[in-house]
Formats: sequence, structure tokens, C-alpha cells
Amino acid sequence: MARYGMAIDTKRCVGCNACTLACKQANNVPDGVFWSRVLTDGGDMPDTPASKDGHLSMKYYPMGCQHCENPACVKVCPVGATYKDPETGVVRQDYDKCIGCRMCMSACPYSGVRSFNWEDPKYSLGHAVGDADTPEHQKHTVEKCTFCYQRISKGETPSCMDLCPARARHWGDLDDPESDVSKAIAGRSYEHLLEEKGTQPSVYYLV
Amino acid sequence: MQEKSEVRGKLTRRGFLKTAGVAAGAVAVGSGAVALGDLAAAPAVADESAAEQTFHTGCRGNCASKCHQKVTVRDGKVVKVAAMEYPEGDEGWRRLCVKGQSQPQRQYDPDRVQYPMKRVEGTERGAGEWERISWDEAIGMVAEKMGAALATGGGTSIGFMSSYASYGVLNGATGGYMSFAYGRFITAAGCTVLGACSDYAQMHVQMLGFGQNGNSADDVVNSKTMIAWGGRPDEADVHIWHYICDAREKGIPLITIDPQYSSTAAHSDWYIPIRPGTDGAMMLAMINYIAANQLENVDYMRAYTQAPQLVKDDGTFLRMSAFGVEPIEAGMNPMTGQPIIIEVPAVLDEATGTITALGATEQPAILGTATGPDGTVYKTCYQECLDHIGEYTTARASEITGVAEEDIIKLAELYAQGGVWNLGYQGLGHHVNSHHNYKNLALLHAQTANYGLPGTAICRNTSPFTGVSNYMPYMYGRVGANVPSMALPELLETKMWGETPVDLQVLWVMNGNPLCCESGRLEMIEAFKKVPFVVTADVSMTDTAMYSDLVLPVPHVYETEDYDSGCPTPYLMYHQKCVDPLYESKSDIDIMRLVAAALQMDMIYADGPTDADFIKQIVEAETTAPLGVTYEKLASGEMIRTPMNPVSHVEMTVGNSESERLKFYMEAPTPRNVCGQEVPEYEKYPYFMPANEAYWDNPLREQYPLMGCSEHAKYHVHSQTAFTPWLRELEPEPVLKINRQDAEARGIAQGDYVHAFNDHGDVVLKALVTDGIMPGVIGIPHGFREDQYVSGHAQNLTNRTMDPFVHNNSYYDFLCEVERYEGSVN
Repeated sequence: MARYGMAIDTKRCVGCNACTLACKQANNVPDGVFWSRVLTDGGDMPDTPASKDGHLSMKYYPMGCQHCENPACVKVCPVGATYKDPETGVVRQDYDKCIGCRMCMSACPYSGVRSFNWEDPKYSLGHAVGDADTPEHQKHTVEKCTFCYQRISKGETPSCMDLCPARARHWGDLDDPESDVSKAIAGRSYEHLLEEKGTQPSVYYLV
Repeated sequence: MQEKSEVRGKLTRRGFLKTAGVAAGAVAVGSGAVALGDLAAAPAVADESAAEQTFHTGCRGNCASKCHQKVTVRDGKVVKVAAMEYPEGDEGWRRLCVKGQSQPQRQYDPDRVQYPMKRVEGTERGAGEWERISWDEAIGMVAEKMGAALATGGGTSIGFMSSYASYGVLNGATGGYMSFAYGRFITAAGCTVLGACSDYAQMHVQMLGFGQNGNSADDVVNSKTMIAWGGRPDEADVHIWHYICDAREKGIPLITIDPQYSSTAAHSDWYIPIRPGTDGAMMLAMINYIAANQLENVDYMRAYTQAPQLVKDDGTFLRMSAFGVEPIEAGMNPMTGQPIIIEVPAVLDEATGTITALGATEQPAILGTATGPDGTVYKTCYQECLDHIGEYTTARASEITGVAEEDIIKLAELYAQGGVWNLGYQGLGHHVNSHHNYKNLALLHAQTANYGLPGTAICRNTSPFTGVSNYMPYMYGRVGANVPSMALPELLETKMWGETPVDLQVLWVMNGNPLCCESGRLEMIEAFKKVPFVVTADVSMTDTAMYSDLVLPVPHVYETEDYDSGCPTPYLMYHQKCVDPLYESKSDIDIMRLVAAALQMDMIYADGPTDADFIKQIVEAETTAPLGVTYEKLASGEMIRTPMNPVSHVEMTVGNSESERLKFYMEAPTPRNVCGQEVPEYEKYPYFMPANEAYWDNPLREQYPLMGCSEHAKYHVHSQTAFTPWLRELEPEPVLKINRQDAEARGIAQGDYVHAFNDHGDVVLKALVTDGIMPGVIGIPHGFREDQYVSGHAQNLTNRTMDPFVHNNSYYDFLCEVERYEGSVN
């Protein structure tokens, strides 16, 4: 039993997107789909600052599924395709059960972390990349970050955790005080995205 | 004969991509490839075993980071790239970014050149009509053209032009020619080298002239203040960013001086926007402020800098030989075989008021003058410099830079406290006349003891470690002429470089895409059209390839072995071959072996029947063998520590002898390329000269009010990743950054397409309206290719003006106007 979570240090992140592409590669994520992205908290476009009284500010929030303790998506899935894995705390998506109703997408307050394959997924390369055991993407299913379930089930870390150039990402079992993630959170101020929604995310943004 | 039909006809790059894209898809699905078999040429090698294999290689493109990569091959295809693990204690040097992660996409990119192609006879160069030919025909063409050139115009009539695309002892082009492939041929035939101009403002003065660099990045935690001045580590060197974060967590402040609000600026405690191209004036004002307020570190200046050395009327140093002191012989110069003669410089002993030898007094004067026995007056080097820069007060610098005077003073006072670590690099050197910045910065760091001590740096060191290298085996003779590539138009006009006749008949472009990445693009294209025969050897169909007569496919780095002696991390960079070369591509060294054979010059490669034989000549030579690195060890794919750096930390050093002192003054300034140019007096000392075009008071601003700027962008290595699909998902198209006020004044809204223009050329692209760039400044994108713009090209706005001392590119040195584009956009 574990309760996996992530801490992302916004005081370190420079929005380089190494995590974004590590995810795309490991999971052979189709063209035009991102399971993990980097959002700019600043101006109206990526990598632009907000301006207030001549003062500029900009922050980055790498963002994928928040793997909530109290996931809104799980409650609305009519077929149990979206479920919280009791072994890991990971919010998973069973492609074979998914009927493509997209209730989970509308229930999830974190817009854009899920995507729906309206057509057969397309790939810019003619061969699959990434982990050999990453599940095949399917038409008419909803998909999202799995915390790289194929990796964590072998005791490895999710691909986005492999090498953050800023060393801004921390991973591990939130219930284990000795885990990297627990130690990163200890003593630091953090934010949860849309805390007011009561989802209790497993992703902590250190501020 | 070769079939010609497939790609015949009008073919734009978009068309080319479409065709080639189909072919790549066909290769991938295998069985569907029948109808397209001719196009698909040699499919990627099929490793029949389904098992995964991993290889140790790296990025070859010169973003300077040279990340060690673990590449996974499955079913004969590259499927995964990860950072190589680093041994315990060295994890901080482990690195990989989006450009490395997307290399498989670049490798299997439809943009790749798949087979030799020649321009269809009767069509104009650049028209985009190509005919597929065989390697035999391609090599035959090259041999015929080169043979004729050698017979009529001699070696210099063959030119090799490169940029900073890739490195490697077999296939690269360090310094424009240094590799087995190119060095052997160029020096054997005495060809012309048309070397890259980018970054020479910094390289010729700071790196090569003064021999200055920074401590390794792990040292930032020892500093008192970090300053990103002339560089943005967040994008240009993200791998060291975590060290900066560690320092910030210790409470060390970060300051950014930049016309653009970068991510580095966003993480900074103090952001100082500055007009592009004016940094040098601010440095001089800070120097004057420090001198006027006696904030110098006098002990440091006396002991470790040129400050006390006495300067004669003619600007050279006074030496004790003038007073009959015999020069000292100090060993033999291994390069020349001549004895090294040291003529000790003279200084003024402050205690006795007499002129004495450097090193003979602990109190050499750094200011004022000394009078010799014959009444001749000499100035100290520091005094000489100060006397030339007096006009740059903090008030004057404020007018020039747009930075508030009190901020300049505050910055000078911070510098004077020591412990300043500059994270900038070559960003200060992208204007004409900008090389002076590096003398100014050197004097500022000399005054304030911000060099050669822990926790100080004059610049970010992109490659602090030393690999095992040996340039001798490349040399078969000499380079015929060394010409900055942007001088091509003049070269074709005068057919001379300095005293050397250069009647260019053949131009061979390798390891670079100059018609996309150098400045003054339109003039360069016109010059290309005048060269009788142009060959481009490249992985992909670059802008430069489009303007060639013959295009030769070379492999992606994963498809060939090579060794790169550059060492940004403490481990040697050997590239294992992961899969066979795709399509019909051949490595540069194999191509040159064929060219040499066709010209009956094959003896120049006779000592290297295999690539391994050549790599052995680098690492197992008489000079390098004692270091214990063998080809076998490299080829094993292990992480091999460079024997040159037993410790993973590098610090610059200063000492008391003349050669060890921190330099800011050039006694005998020598231009980068000697071609009969005058060397003005001011090349000797710190100096400021406004940019050639992009300066605030330029009357041309009435017509073209916006000043140019750009950056080392995070999704690009020059133009190499221009078409890489995942990177284009993150950043779909080139954008022009424009300040919100400037945009509003021109009726430009977010996402509008705009037309940027000046007398050099124009470009149409999307606008990015942002508060993150100073009013009056625009940012042009870097690394996109011609077909990715609605029309024109960002580099069409730039010009070819070079400072004659350093022959550098001036990417930011242009003015332009921007208007809303009313035309249609496909």
C-alpha cells in the first residue's frame, strides 16, 4: 500500500518542458495530446509575464492529472473505468471499460489534463516510442497521466521524475515520511490547485 | 541511369516534406512501401531481434551542453532517449532537455535528406526542383568540379563553409575545418575555410584574446550575488539552473540585466531592463564610479591584474629590457620549437617611487604615472584605461542605456563587494562593435576581484572540463585562406582575401545552415547564387541545401560513431552507433573518402581504413596515450571520466606573473582574420561604440523605430529542430515578440500576423504581444526555416556588417518597423 504523490517546486521551475516530453515519449502519447503540460501563470500567452503597475511576474505550473484523494472523475464514471487504485492511490483509467462518455472530463476541475481520442490516435513517427509496456492508445477512450503506472508497478519512477533539469520535482509515497516527496514538502509552503473544489490533489506545488 | 520522375517538377519545401513524409511512413509500415519503394531507398536497418538494446551517445548539435544519452533501440528503431546515469557525486552534471528527448523525431523526421539530389538542369538555384541521383553520379560531379577548380584556381578555389551544427573528430568542423573528414582534405589541398561568425565578439576577445572563462557552475553557491548579464541560463543552459536554485535557496540574490523578461528574470530578485547593445556604456560608467569612489580592491589589482603594468606612448608595455635588464629564457615553446623569451614588464614601486620589475615589489602603483630616468612619462595600465573612458559617467550611461542612474550606482556598489558570479555569456556580443563589452567587463571584474576566486565568474563556463584531444592528425598541410563566412559577397567580388587569391569555384557547406542561421541572409543568398557550384551535406533539407546544386544526405548522430573532445561535464563524449544510417545517407568522413579517391587523393585517408583507426589517433596518440583512455574503452559505451579533471569542479586562476594576470588591455591587438585591415588604437583598451544600426539616437529610427533582439531559444539548436514535431506542438510557429504599448500603437492584437521590415528585407509571422520585452524593442525568433514563415525570414531583417577586428555576426543589430499584416495566411 502506498499513496503516491508529487511535489513540484515553483521556485525552481523555468518551464523548460523536459517533463512534458519525457511523458510524451515514455507513454507514446499521440500527436496533439499532452498528459503533462506546463502552464504559465503570467500573461495571456505561454512564457509571457503579467504586468501590474510596472511590475512583471511569471510563474510556471507543470500540470497533469492531480491524482486526487477525492477525485471528482471517479464518482461520475458510469462504468467504473475511472477508478482510484487502492494499492498506489493512482487515479487510473481502464481503456477497455471506457465507453467514451467523457463524464470524467466534465467533472474534473483541472481542464485539459484529460483528452478524448475522437479518432484513431495519430503519431508523427511510424513506430511506437517509449516504454515497451505502455498501454496502447485507443479510439473513443479518455486518457490521461497514469503516474507512468507501467513504471511504478516495477518500482521505477514516473518518466517526468527521471530528470528535471531544475531538480524541481519530487516523488514518492506521501505516507512515508522518508520519501523524497514527503521530505520536499516538509517545512515548505505549498499550494494545491483549486483547493476549494475539495478534490485533495496528490500534487503539491511548493511556493 | 537513375530514375528521375519521382521528385521531378516544382517542389517547394512543403511539397518536399509531403513527398518525403509519405516515404518515411512507408518505410515504417514496411509492407505498404511497394509503390513508393524507389523513394524509400534503403529502409532503416531492421534488427530482427525484438529485444531492446541500449547505447551511449549524445546530442551532437552545438547548444554546447553535449548531453550524454542512453538511447534505446527496439526492433531496429530508436524508441527512447534518457539521460545517462552519472556516478555518485556527479549527479549534478546529469542532463537532458526537450531537444535531446525529441531526437528520435529528428532522426525519423520527414525533413531528412534521403539520397543524393541535384538541382534540375536549367532551373534556378533555390527554385526547389530536384533530381535524385546515385552516389556514383554525385561523387563524379564533385570530383569533376573540384578537379577543374584545383587545376585552374588552385586549392583556395574550393571553399568549405560551416557553422556550429555539430562536432566530432570524424565528421565535425570545429573551427571551420577540424576533423578527419574535413581537416585532412582542406589542409591537403589548401582550400578556403569560410568559418562561422556567430559569437566571435566574445570568442575573439574574452575566450581567445584574454583566455578568460568562468568557474564551473557548481561554484555559484559560493557567490554573494549572481548576475545574468548577457545570457539567460533558463533557456540557453538549463542544465546548470539547479545550481542557481541551490544558491537562491541559500539566500544568494539573482539579478537579471536583459531587454527581455526571461524565466531567469522571473526568478530574479532584481530585474534591470536595458536597451539592447548599450551594456558596454553601463560597464564603463560602473568602472568610473568604482574608481571615483575608490571602491577598487587595490590589493587584488596590484597582485593579479594588468593594472600596475606601465604603458608607453605607443600603447605597448614598458619592459625592463628598456633599462638594460636581460630577457629571461623560460623553456621551449612546443609549438614553434623556439625558446620562450620573457621580457619582464615594468611597474612603479609606490614605496620608493622608482620603476622596477613586475614581481619585485608588493606595492606596484595602479594609478598615476611614472617618470623614467630620461624623463619619459609612463602611465599605469589602469590609469591608461581610465583616461580613455572618462566621458561615461553614470548620468551619461543612464541616457544611453535607459537604466536609472541610481540603479547603475547600486549595481557598481554590489560589484565592489566582490563575490559576483556572472551567468551571462555570448549575449553581450551580438551587435557590431560589441566585442568591446568583453574588455569592459574584464576591467570591471579586475577592479572588484571578481575573477579567479571561488564564488566569482566573469561568464558562465559552458564547457569547464577538458576532454582528451589532439588536433595534429587532422593536419595534412595548411588551410589556404581563412575567411569569415559572411565575407562571401566581397570574396566573390574581389577574388582576393588579404594577399591570397581566392577564385571560388566550388562551395561545400557542412555542419551548418548558414542561410538560416547567419545574419544578412538575403545578401548571402545572392552571393550563393554567384558561386559556380554549391554542395551541401546535411541530415535535413535546410535553407542552405535549398540553394545548392547538389545535396548529400548525412546520417543523424545515432547512426554513426564519433568522438567529441568537448567536455561540458566531467565525462568523455563518445557517440556509439545505435542503428545503421537511414536511407542512403553516408557519414561526412565516408563521403570525403570517396571524394578524395575520385581525385586520386586517397592517400590522405590511407592511415584510417576504419573510423576506429582515426579515433585511436586522437586518444591513443603519443601525447594522449599516457592518459589511459583507449578507443576500446570509449567504444564500450561506459561513462569514462576525463583524466584531465580528477575533480568535478573547475576554478579559474590568477597569479602574479604577467601571463597569469587578469587582462583587460590588449598590448598588440590582432584581428580574428588578418586581411590587411587597420587596427584602431581603441582596440587596446575598454571602450564603447554605439551599435552599427540599432542605437537609440540613430536618425534611421524615424523610419524604423524598433530595435532588434533575439535569444538562444529553448526549443531550438540553431535550425536543427525546426521541424521536429513534438517541439512544434509546444511552439507551433515562429513569433515576433512586441511590447504591448508598441503593439497597441500599431493596432496589433494578440495573435495577429505582422509584417516586419527594413531596408535589408522583411518577414511575415505571428505577433506575440507581451510585457516581457522592453518598449521599442522586438524579439525575432531563432531557428525556424524559410517555409515556416508566412513569407520572408527573420534573418532577412539582419545585415552582414561585421566589425573588422572580430568579424562577428550581429544578430540584434538592426532597426525595423512592424505593421499589421493584412494578407492571407495559409
